[in-house]
Amino acid sequence: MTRTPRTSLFTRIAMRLMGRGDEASCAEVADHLQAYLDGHTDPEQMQRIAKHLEHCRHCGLEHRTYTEIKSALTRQSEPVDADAVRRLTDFGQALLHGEDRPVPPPADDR
Amino acid sequence: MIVGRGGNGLRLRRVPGHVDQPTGSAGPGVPDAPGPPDDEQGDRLAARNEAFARYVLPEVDVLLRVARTLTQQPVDAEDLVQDTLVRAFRAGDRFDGAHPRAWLLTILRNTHLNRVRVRRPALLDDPQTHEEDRVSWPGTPPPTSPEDLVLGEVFDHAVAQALNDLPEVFAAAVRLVDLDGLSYAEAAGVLGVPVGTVMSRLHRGRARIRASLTRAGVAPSPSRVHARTVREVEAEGGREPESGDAEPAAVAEPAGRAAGEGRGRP
Repeated sequence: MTRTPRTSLFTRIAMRLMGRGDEASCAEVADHLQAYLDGHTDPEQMQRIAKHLEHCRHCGLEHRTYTEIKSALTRQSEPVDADAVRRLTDFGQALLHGEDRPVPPPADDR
Repeated sequence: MIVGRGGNGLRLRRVPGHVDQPTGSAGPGVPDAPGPPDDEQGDRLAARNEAFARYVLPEVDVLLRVARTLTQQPVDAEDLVQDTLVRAFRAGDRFDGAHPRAWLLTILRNTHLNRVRVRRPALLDDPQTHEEDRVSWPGTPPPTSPEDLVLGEVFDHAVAQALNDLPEVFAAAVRLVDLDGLSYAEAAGVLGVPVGTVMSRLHRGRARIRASLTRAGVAPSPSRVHARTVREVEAEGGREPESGDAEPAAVAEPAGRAAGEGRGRP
């Protein structure tokens, strides 16, 4: 039976916490996780973070949590009023074709 | 001057400063142009119309979505977009064709500020001073009911509540990016702040939401290293990145330029 040397475990933990050349550390992930989610990290950093997330349980959990938050926020967005879009597009077309400016009735008429 | 009613039921009025088409009459009730426009004016009008049709009209839904975030009132949002369309129409011949959405969003923002300045000048103070202001966001789901005891819905409601409880300075950044789908640079243009400031507000806003979810028991506690980051973000308090630290917004207009329509060709 083979046993993993103690130094190997220490090395793995150290690599995870401190990072190495091609992989981000936990602290680096914590600092840049939201920008990573938004696609606002450079390609090299994106790869380093992605590689770290493959095996770090704590950072993976944080990544999933923020992904869920971002998805839930996106679901909060209500579709724009199609009738309003049509009215405004008609208004823009009227401007474009040199017609008189349509204006909605004042608030007390609505 | 109100002259009649359009086919869609909207009342019609002359567009202030509207320049008639270079060919033909603009319609009943519209005074004829004093004479045939010269070539230069014709080119300018053609460029304006082309820019408007090509860059502005396809963005009406984006403008309406962002206007809804800025005004938080559907009726006000529609009025704001209407005024924005007029300003964009007039400025179309001076637009250089680069970053059309950013150009439009800058006009939208400046138009919004002008409207607010007239209606409620006190709201134009530094938003940091109103950090604790609370706003209600249309569409916020009602409190959790027994029928809502499905994990996904409970989570969504908790997120909505946390967003609703955010100070407006953070909530605006979150809404523009996560709900309206704007990029950091586009949101910076709407808010009139550097991109770095948008990132700071957005990340801090989400971190606050994340902390609220943990307190509500619908998200796990962060590990020590991630909790440290959240604490450091919160320790910054109201401090924003220095202008020198932040990448300037690609869409920001120089202060004082009228309504932002002047970017582009001289």
